[in-house]
Amino acid sequence: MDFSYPPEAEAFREELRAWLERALEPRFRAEEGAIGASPERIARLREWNRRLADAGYAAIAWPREFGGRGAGALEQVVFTEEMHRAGAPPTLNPIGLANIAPAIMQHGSDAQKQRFLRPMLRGDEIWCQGFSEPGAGSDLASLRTSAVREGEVFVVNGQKVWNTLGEVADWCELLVRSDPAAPKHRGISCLLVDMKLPGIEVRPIRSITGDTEFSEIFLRDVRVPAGMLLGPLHQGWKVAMTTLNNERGGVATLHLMVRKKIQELFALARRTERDGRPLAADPLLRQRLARLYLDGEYLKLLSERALSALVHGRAGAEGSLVKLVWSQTQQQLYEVAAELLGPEAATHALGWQRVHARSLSIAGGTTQVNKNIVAQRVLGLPRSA
Amino acid sequence: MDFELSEAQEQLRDGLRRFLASEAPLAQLRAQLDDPRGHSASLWKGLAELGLPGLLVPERFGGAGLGMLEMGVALEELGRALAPAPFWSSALAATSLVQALASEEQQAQLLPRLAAGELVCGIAQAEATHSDWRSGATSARRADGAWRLEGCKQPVFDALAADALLVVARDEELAAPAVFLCEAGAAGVEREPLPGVDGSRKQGRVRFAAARALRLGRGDASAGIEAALDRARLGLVADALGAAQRAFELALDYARVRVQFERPIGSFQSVQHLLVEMLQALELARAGLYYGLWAADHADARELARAAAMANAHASAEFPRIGAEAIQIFGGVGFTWEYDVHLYYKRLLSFEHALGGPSRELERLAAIVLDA
Repeated sequence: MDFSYPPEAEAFREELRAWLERALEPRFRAEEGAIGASPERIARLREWNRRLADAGYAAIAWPREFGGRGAGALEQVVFTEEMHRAGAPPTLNPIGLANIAPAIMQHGSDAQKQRFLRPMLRGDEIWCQGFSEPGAGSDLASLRTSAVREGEVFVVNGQKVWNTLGEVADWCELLVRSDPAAPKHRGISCLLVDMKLPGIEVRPIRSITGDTEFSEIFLRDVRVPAGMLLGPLHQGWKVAMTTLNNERGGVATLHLMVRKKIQELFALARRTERDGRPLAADPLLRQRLARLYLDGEYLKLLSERALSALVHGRAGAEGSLVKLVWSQTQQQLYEVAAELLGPEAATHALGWQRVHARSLSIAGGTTQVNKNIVAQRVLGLPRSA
Repeated sequence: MDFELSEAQEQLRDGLRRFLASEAPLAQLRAQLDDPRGHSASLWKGLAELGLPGLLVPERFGGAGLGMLEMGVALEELGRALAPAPFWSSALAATSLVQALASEEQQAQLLPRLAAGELVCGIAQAEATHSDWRSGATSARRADGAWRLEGCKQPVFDALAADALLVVARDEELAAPAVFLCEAGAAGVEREPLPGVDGSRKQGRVRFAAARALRLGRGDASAGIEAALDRARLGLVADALGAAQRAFELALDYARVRVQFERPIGSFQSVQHLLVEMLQALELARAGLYYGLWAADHADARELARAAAMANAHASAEFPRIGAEAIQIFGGVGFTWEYDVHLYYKRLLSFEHALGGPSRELERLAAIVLDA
């Protein structure tokens, strides 16, 4: 057992720190990414993204041949830690870099790789995914948006929903039903769709915070060139599930933002007086704050153990639990914040963040579906009815 | 970033698991559940032959000179087996107090005997009327050239199995806490069993009336006691993790084979989610515990205290619930004496508040991380 990082990873940290000191000008610093951003902020994020790309830092997990540095999990963790520490903004193109690029690298034609990867890396083109539908949420494979081959095009009709970055995306990785007769996982294909094609309409969805952070996409007789089929016909399910083999360092850093927010809450508790004493001196609030702190620290340790399992090739349950623990801890943070704020809880900015945090146990797989998956894949329990 | 056990640590775990499967089967525990000493002499002898009581003792005193990670691995296995042995008391808690506080000469006298398993030593720090060892009422004064203890300690783990006790008491000359070694059979020492729910770990009450004792070291022992107790806390969490993990595994196996409504109950989502929540609590506990065990040997006292408070707060809140939910998954048979799952639940109940339960440990954590 040894909690230090290997010398190569520390050397990378030094190199990155030195670069960040030069490159990260104050105007780039921001906590939020492109989701729901104004055109000016998008432009600024894009400028930052280009700097990253020119220095080889835009997607370090990518192989070198595509402009990455083939970084392993530990280097990825170091990268995220340093970006967080320096206050650098999140990437402009998170879904493209992490989720879509691996499918293009592995299943795309040479022409597709040539055409798409470089602009994606530089942030010149923003990508979204068109997966979920009104009738296909947790049960994604039941999707019904249809694609019918007519000569040199697929004619696509249907509706997609929960498209993060949909309103600003230039391209979309779209899952369509290409063979309605086949079993549901085997009749799906994956298309790369230009969002400017006629017949595509993007409507922002207003979320419970009043903001728009995702959209729905309507597709009416959209003619997608056949050359935009990604991977083999009818094998889109497998194509869309492709990830980089080294792309799992991400879970190890989910704790960074949560623990930072917990420290902010501690500061609030220390400086806010009620009933003639700081909130941090109230015995009941101390219990809640200490438990929250513990949850944040244990999320970190669980993530580190998951990372260690990955690096050492040990099969472990930790990795599949990190998302569950992260969403619970983050939601709990706002519950504790409300307890601190008391009557102010519903009028404070933290109140809005609390409302927003409801999405954490829904987006990217609900807590309940996640528990089903862990029960069946990790614990080996029989499928539920 | 290496969170893995070493090959030698894995071997220790596997070897001890095999040893306990043959030398400490549950049938043997069941046969002595009502014995107030609660200590299987043959099991203790076997552990001593393996050199385990001297695991932490430096080699120059006849021990193995290993660290807290090895101690944690060993205790996890003993907890998993519900082993009725005073190992935690003697090999970890008492040994750590001696190492933290005793003079070189005292260490040379005590540690070889502790390491060989010849001396079984318990620790007496808790009192019924005080929730913190710092404020206990037990006192020590010098009379006729020897220290004399006055007071009552309870609960004391392995009180009746121990040959000697390390007693936390107030040195009235110094007006500060200190630790005293008292022979269990000395005049003025009265021990009685406290029959409790957990037959695998016996507890007792010990009264001291002018009992003759030896003071470990000199000066204010507060810092040494606290550091030794933090190590003891981590060890007790390891023991409890072994028991909780086993209760979880029993429930998981049962959920796979128990059929109702023509299907295994483990196919019902309500049961699946319960088991995933148990798994989550266990995996968090394991990560936190292993970090704490590492910190005990590599970090300063403050970091040890932080890690131990977190480990104990988490485990004392979650493990009894894991035991309770394991019984729930077994349903009616889980409530019978015949099925084993209740034995694990009870081990977790005797752990829960032994060295500060959830609320006290969270307050200790708050004092470290919020007031800083």
